Amino acid sequence: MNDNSSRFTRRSVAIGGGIAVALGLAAVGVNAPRWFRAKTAYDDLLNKLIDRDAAATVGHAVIGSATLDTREVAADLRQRIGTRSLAEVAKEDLAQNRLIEARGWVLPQTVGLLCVVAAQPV
Amino acid sequence: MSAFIDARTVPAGTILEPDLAIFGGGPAGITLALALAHTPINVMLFESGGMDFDPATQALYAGSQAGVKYLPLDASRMRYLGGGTNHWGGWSRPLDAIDFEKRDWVAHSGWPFGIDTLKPYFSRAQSLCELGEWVYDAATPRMAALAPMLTLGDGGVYTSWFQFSKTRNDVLPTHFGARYADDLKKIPNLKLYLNANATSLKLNDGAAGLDSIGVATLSGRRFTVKPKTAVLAMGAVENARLMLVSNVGNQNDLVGRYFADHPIPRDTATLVSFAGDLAGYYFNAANFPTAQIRATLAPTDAFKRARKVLGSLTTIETPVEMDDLAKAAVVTAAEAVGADASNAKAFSIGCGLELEPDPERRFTLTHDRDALGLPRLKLTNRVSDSDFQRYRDTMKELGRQLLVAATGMIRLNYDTRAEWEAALDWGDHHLGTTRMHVDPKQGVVDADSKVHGLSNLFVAGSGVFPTYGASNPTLNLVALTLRLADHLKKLPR
Repeated sequence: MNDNSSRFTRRSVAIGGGIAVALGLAAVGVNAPRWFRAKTAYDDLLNKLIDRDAAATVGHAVIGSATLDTREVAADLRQRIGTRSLAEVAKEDLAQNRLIEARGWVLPQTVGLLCVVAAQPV
Repeated sequence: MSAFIDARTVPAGTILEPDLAIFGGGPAGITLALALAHTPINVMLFESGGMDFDPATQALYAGSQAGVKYLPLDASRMRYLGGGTNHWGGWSRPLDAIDFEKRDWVAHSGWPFGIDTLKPYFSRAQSLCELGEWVYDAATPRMAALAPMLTLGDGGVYTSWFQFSKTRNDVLPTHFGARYADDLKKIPNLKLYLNANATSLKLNDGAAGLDSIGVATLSGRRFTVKPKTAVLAMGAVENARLMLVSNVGNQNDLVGRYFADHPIPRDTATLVSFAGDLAGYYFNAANFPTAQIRATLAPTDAFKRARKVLGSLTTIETPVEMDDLAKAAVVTAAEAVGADASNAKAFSIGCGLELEPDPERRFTLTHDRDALGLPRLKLTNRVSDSDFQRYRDTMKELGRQLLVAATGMIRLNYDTRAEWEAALDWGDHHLGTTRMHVDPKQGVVDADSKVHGLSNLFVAGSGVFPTYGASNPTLNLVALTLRLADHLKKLPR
């Protein structure tokens, strides 16, 4: 047995294992659990998104082609969505031809604006 | 069966006097000759080329261009018997009813008649183009039963169908020259001259009718044709050239104007199917089995009216890789509409667009001359920003419908004019230089394809289309030519 083996305490193995699991999850594209995210002023909106990282990527593309104030966008979204689900609002957007582009990708407007909020630095 | 006549053997100075002279042996000229077979009309057909490609004859087509980049004028046509069908891809679809209408959002739009006037001729045209059974949009239920279609939500874009001219093993679609040569030789009232180029139109003394047509060969022979009636069927570009050279039919400065083709910008959009693979009939011609058909996505007439767009025919082309943004957009959109996009695949989109008629998109004569001494043409080509924007609006509607159905989504790949122009290709569909209109101040030919102001000169082919639609022209010009044949049969001799 190697002398260094004594350094592998139960605590260090647990921490190392945790990191490995986190890296593994990241590698397969699973979002960090919500408790790993810092709170934001927009969590009531962002909680409607399943994949916030993907949404942030899309949001940056929306911002690239528009000038948007996040606070105003969030206020508008709260009014628009209310207590409804994102699916309901997206359906309404599509029915009313309210669309937005993220570097050419055509999305329901509300979804695109939620992505803009997701793209803001915490 | 009588052989074709080589015009190079006709003695110089000869005067030929048929009842009807047809100039041009492409799909229009050949259709007209076939349709007038076994009538009392003594017909002569004059084709510039021979039975096969000849570089010296083809070089007669060369010209120059300015503006939006177009195909070289000697590369977008074929100058031998069969004409444009010698490089035809076989894509066929009838014009839509709205294509004939005067549309208040499309300047200079409208035919002198509606699609019902052409309908009686479509069946025969379909047969001449060897397109199989007339199926087109009636194919949907059967094809959907064969393999699932890409479901679209209610809206302005629907799945339509192209049909394809017959392919024989590895031989491409019906080449009218090769296909109908033997039939033409069997027509007792037809003489067909090869290597015979029309070089001038001469009017009679009162300038109320055509007197004669000068003909020349590249070997130096020149002779004259004095027909009772003549039809120019040399293609939209050469018909206009001969009329400009001869200053015939151009009293209102319309000849050569309103030229159009179908722009085919490549990779205009990316379509994602959330379910992944799509049926083969989206990518290639499939057996119906009584016809070969391929799916296309087209705006409905109602959508064209409501959103003031023009015709377009969109095809799904090849798979493309998705970048990080594409993957993120797919995940986000699919989540929002409740779709499973774990197997999503992306495909490039191709299309053919209808252009708005534009009098400044035109051919003019230059001082440069061809081997026969005729002035060469210069094309001034233009595409308006609204032509691109209208197609973008249609694609955006398709994207909306895919999301409504939770089956997919769209990326619009081009936003700027520079992007559109960089991707432009063209259909080799020459349209509109001798447009049809009841008013001589708005059209070169009347509703019967007769040149305004002249009693006995007609124009055949897609050059008379006053508004273009998005459909490929061959089937439609053949139908229009069959209508012209009916008209010519009724003329007094």
